[in-house]
Amino acid sequence: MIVWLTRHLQTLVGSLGDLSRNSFSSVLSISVIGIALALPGAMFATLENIHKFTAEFEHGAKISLFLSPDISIKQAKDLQQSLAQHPDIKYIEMITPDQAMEEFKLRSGLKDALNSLSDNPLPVVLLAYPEDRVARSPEKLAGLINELGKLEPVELSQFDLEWIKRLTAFLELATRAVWVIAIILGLGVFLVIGNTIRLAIVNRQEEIRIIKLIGGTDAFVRRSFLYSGMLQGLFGGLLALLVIFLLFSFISKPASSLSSLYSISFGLDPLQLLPSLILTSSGALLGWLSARVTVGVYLRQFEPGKGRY
Amino acid sequence: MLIEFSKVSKRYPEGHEALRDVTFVINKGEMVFLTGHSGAGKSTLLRLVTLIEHATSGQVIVNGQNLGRLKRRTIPYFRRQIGMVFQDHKLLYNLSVFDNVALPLIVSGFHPRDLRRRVHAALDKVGLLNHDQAKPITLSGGEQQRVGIARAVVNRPSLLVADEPTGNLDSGLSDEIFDLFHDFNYHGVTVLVATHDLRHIKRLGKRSLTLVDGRMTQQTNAAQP
Repeated sequence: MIVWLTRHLQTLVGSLGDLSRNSFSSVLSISVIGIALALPGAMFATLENIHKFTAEFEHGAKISLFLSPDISIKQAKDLQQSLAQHPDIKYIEMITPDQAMEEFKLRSGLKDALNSLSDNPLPVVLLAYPEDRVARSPEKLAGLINELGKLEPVELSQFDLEWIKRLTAFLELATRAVWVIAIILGLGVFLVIGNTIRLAIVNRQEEIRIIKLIGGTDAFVRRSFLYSGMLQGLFGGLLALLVIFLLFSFISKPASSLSSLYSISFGLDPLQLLPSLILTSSGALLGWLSARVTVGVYLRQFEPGKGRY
Repeated sequence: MLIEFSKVSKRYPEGHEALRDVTFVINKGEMVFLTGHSGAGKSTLLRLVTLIEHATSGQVIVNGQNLGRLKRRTIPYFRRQIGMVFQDHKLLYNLSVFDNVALPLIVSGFHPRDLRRRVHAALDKVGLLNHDQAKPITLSGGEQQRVGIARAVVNRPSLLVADEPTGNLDSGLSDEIFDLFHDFNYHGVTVLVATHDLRHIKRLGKRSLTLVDGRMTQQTNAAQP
């Protein structure tokens, strides 16, 4: 066990040494990997932030129910109480015609004109705040709006934040697109690492042949390449994290001033701990896998009996 | 016996027939020279012993193992029983002398605690103990070959195989190298050396096998020096 561990440690240190010796080409390939991983990483982080951003709105999403003019405040109150029991509704608020008129006067600047009206033409309005799980799902929300609109005293049921529905649907699409991009770039990383490993194998063919001549197993030869692939992927992943972090700190200021325009508190987050770990470890895993495949394909070409030996 | 060839032929894929119907036996503890002009098949014969090549027909038995039946993945373990010395040394020039000699031990998973002692013993044997941290490129040809020999014996193999080990060395240095082989043989290692330098055969008085155009023409017995 100790021998096994020492051997692995030796190889790991050896691979690190190789990486630093061939510093230019390894920096180059690590940068390529870093950028290739940073792109989908940053996109996922952006989507995550947009989700958070819309969640702030969804929190205040409400359905306005305009009741028929002939419904009295008493009847409206009854309706309010019965709707409060609805499982999809968090709570419900009532705006009487008087309140609405007051607000209208204040906001519209038509105070004098409105004062001249003999009676209040505004209907009673109930504001239904849906549960978060309903607000997040466009279908459920549409169902609820429809259901409330069919109620006897309701003349019009209207969702104020129609655009959120559209945005949510768009986000769904964008997430899929980012996945496709991530898979394509992941394949790119796989090929980049495979190519550097292939070059390393060609550069070290003399060494590989000698190691095989003195009794080195395929596994022994493979090991250092697997480590170097894994390390390249790992460093590429860490570089990607750095790039995402820099990118987000670069745009965090305009983003927070934008969100303050919407009067919501919203700070831009770079990747959280778990996605960061996933990003770096998927880099390392990609590197390992790519090295494994490349070594499997090329190693047999450097048997001592083949080539010029 | 340690090495047994019976009716062994080797034809390379491009059609060249390097060995034809070769039969001989080398006993445990023997030191045997393999001679012949260049292209006679000396190297091919050694490559069959070390499983760098497979015989086209016939049977090769080394250390009790029929090489034709050895599975590919067991070849590394087979090679660990053999020390190999090459004309061009085949050292790794980015590693120190110490690391070059330690390589067979590292490759076979030798315990790190005893590694230094074993490497130093091998380097001491070839007289290069004080050069252990040098890079091979800074050493002379004779010294590099001695590093190669130290690497070949560090695993304490039962068989030492050398292909023209003194091909690039002057006669004084050649004598030193052959004396080293002789000394290992004295300590019980079976030695098979391919050389075209007949002087050493006379000097050391060992048995020799001669190849001409891939056929074994002559098997002289050891003449006492």
